[in-house]
Order: sequence, then C-alpha cells, then structure tokens
Amino acid sequence: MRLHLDSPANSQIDAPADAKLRLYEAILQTVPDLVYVFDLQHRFIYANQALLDMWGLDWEQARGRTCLELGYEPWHAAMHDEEIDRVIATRGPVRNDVPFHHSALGWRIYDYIFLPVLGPDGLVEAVAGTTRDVTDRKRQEEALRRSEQRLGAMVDASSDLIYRLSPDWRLLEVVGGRAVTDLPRGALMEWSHERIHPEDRDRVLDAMARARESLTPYQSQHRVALRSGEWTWVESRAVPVHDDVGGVAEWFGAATDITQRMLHEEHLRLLVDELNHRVKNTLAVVQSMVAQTLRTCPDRDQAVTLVESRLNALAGTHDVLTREKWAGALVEEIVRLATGHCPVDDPRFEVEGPMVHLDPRRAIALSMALHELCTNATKYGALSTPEGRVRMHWSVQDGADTPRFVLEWAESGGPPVRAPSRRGFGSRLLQRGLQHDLGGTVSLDFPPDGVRCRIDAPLPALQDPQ
Amino acid sequence: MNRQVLIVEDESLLVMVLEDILPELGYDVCASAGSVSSALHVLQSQDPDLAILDINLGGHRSFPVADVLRERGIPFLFASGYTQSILPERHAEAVLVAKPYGRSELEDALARLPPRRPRHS
Repeated sequence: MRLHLDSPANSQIDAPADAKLRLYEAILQTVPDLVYVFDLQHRFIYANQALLDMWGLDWEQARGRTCLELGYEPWHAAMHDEEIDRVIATRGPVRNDVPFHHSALGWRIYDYIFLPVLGPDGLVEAVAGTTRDVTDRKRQEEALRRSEQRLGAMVDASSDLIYRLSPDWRLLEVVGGRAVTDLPRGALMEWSHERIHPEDRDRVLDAMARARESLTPYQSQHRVALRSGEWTWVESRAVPVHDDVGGVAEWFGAATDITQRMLHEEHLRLLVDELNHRVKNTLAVVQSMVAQTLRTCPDRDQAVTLVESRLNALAGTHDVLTREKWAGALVEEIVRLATGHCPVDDPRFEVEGPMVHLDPRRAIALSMALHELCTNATKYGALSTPEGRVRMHWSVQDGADTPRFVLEWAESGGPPVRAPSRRGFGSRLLQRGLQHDLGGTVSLDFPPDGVRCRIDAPLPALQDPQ
Repeated sequence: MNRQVLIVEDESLLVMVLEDILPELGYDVCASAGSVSSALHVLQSQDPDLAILDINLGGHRSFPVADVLRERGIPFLFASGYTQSILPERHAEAVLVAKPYGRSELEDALARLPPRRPRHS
C-alpha cells in the first residue's frame, strides 16, 4: 500500500516525506483512540498501539488478518465487512458504535468512523478507521437519561403542572406534569393576563407581588386556562431558587388540579344551604300546623293526637321524597301513604289512576290534604262503618291550554253527612292550602250520602312551580 | 282601615298561619302568591301596603319581586330559613325574619319596616 502523506491537501506538516511518516507514526502510536487501516480485502494493514492493546496482540499476530480471522464474533465481522464494502463503493464515510471486549478493560462501547483512502486516480485504495472508547460518555448519557425519565415520571405522578419563573415573574416555562399536554412548551410571556381567570387575576397578582418582595413561598388557588375555553381550578405553589451571590436565580413551582375538589366543595356548600333551608321550612310548617291544630281543636288530648298523626303524615311524605332524592313523588305513592295509616281493609278503598309525577312541595301538600280526608272519613265519614266505601280516582284530562290533573274523592255507604258548622283545619287545608299549592281549584262538598272532594289543577304547574 | 299585606310564600300552611296572625296584628291579607310569576302578576293589579316574601319559591329566588316592590316604594320583609348572607347586595339591608318564627318575631319585624313611600299621581 501507499500512504500519500506528502500530498499537500492532506498534510499540515512541513517536512520531508520519510520524516513525516515517522512523525505520523509517533502520533498515531500515542493517541488513546484506535487507529487502523484495511486493505481492499478487509485485512488489517495498520493498527496503532491502542488497538493492539485492546486485542491483547502484537502487530505480528494481527498483521494481514481480517476481523473474523482475529476472532471477532461472526456477526461483528460481517457488519464491518459490509461497512468496508460500503465505504469502497460510496467513497463516503461510515459511522457506527458497537460493544467489544477489551483485553484488559472488559466490555466497552466503541464509536468508530471508517473513511476511504483515495489513490491519485481517485479510486479507493484502502479504508482507514478511528475508534473512540465512549463507554464513560454513554454511561453518563444513559444515567442522565434514566434520571430525567425518573424525574419526569415523578413530576407526572405527583403534579399536574410544574413550571419555572424568571426572577421578575414575567417569563413562565412549563416544565412538565400530567395536565400540560395542551399547553405550549417553552417560555410564555403575558401568561398572567392570558391564562389566569379575570376574576382571580388581582388576587393572584397580589400574592405574587408579596412572594417576590418577601422571597417567601408563593401560594394561591385560582382558575387557569390550560385548554382554550376551559377553566381549571389549581392550587399553585412556587419557591425561590437562590443563586450563588444571594439573589434569586429563578422560581420553581407546582400546580395541582383541584377542579373536582372545588366542584365538590361548592356542591357541598349548596347542599348544606339547601338542607338548612328545608329544615327551617319544615320547622315552620310544623309550627304552623301545631298552631292551627291548637287553634281549631279545643280538646287538649284530641289536639295531641291530631298533631301526632299530622306529623306522621308529614314524616311519611318526607320518607317518600327522600327515597326519590327529593326529585318528586308519584301520586300513587302519596295515595298509598295517606290511606296506609287508615285502619281499614283494602276492599273499602277503590283507588285508580295513571302515573302522575308531582314536585316535592306539591307532593307534601297533596299528602297532607289526603291525610285530612282520611282522618275525617275514619272519624265521621264512610270509613267509620264497615259498609262504607271511598272511591279515589285521578286522571290527566285535556285543558284549554295545558293538560289538567283531576282527582276525585267520593265517600259512600257511611252515616248521613252533616255539613260542618265551622271550618276546621282539615277543610281549610284542603280548600285554602291545597288550592294555593296546586294553583287550581279544590271543591269540598258535604252531600248527605258522602263527602266529596274534587281537585282540578293544571298539570304543567304541578310539575314546574314557575 | 287595616294595612293590606301581600304574602309571597310557596308553603300553604305558612300562608294559612299568616292569614290567622296578621288580622290579629291589625293587617289584612289582600293576596297571596306561591311563585315569582304569580307574585308579579298580582302586583300588576294590586297595590298592597307591604309584603312578606319567602326567599326560596320552589327553587327560585324571590328577589325579582323584591326589586319591583322597592321600585314602587312598597316596604317588604323577607321570611326565610336562610340567613342574611344569602341576600344580594342590593337587598342586604332588608328586614329578614328567620323561619320558624312566632307571632312576636313577626310583630317585631313588621314594626321595623319603613313607612310606605307616598304613591305617585
């Protein structure tokens, strides 16, 4: 082989050719990288000391051998054969890395480049190679990559948003977190104006100013636009990272999505408010019921019995409504409840009607009204004798504007009816109260053959109080 | 002549109790309404001297009724299971009697109402 070391394009040494050769040889023997040359038959025609050390051979043992002949694994030798052929064919370099067993250091990772050596005719006359041991760099890179992976996993597992802030807080960079998929990576300017909910902005800017001034941790709950057109409640916390000269290099922060928690708290607050309202209202209803029972019933023992029975009716309706999560109740359930505590056998009641749904307040009103009718029938009317009957039919009928709910109560077979001399609580509740609650008309009649009550109310008004 | 009261309350039993108590305190119930829309409807034809408003009417707030009453210079009080904190800013100073209330609480609250603004025309 000929090495054209004196070619002006390849030489930076100004000396006679044989002196240059010695110089190059000296350099090549001392560099830690492996340097070598293959001929066109893939045989080693040069190897520097570093390569010989790696093999654990002297030059006489290696000279003129191919990789395979030197004991390389067949796959490894074949890979280099292909690469050498490629360099010869393309006259371009090939770069790759490969693990190899060093005779003294054990398994190492080598990064190598094969280059064509061109003759004066422009054809490839040999293939030169240099190889560098990159084991330490690769290990560091691998360690760094794993560390970053772990850190990334830690960030994603523990936080929804991790960010860095410039010392003046004008620049925000999103670093990671579960919620960042829709956020632009990199620095955000004007982020406090674009991303923080207008109603929360002043409060947040105040908290930021305080933190920056006192260099104490910043903490705030606010809404932020992580996705366009959607507000996410976050709990955000940032701490200053100090530099070596006592200043602040940057701030580092984490934000947690607390939207669900906030919704839950809001829901809970509404529930407590509503519960308070209902309890107070129920107490007011109980108070007025007691007041009116006492007002209209002069006998103390009878008044106590009446209050108890009316409270039971009220409690029973609440049970029905609670079962339905206060969404309302079916007329049939209310009827069953009202007639359930009458001491009668089923055959004396004739009950019939379709499925009609009432809102909670009207369900209570109807329940209380039916309770009064039943109580009255049991004491004085059809249900006070074994032969008496009560017919209770309800239906939905066509009205002028809206469908109407019509319920008819008709007693028969009881003792002759005498119209009451004065209006008691029950009849007043029916005529005055029920009419008010249902928004329709309620008629209560006392013909001799049995008490009759007719309730006629527009159905939409029954289903929606407004 | 007794002063005329409008009752806005969705609970008929409470209306009935007010109908019992108010005449004894020297007031007449001129009308009662169980919803915001029916209260506004009543106010189109009636001109009560004062009004007693429940706050929650079947899930709806009665504040629109309070707005009309204030506009017309008709004094009113809220009767509610809610506390003063639920009142919107414009009605924050309104008289509120807490449910359940008795005759004397109602009497006190009525006494705290400002006089009716003189009618126009």
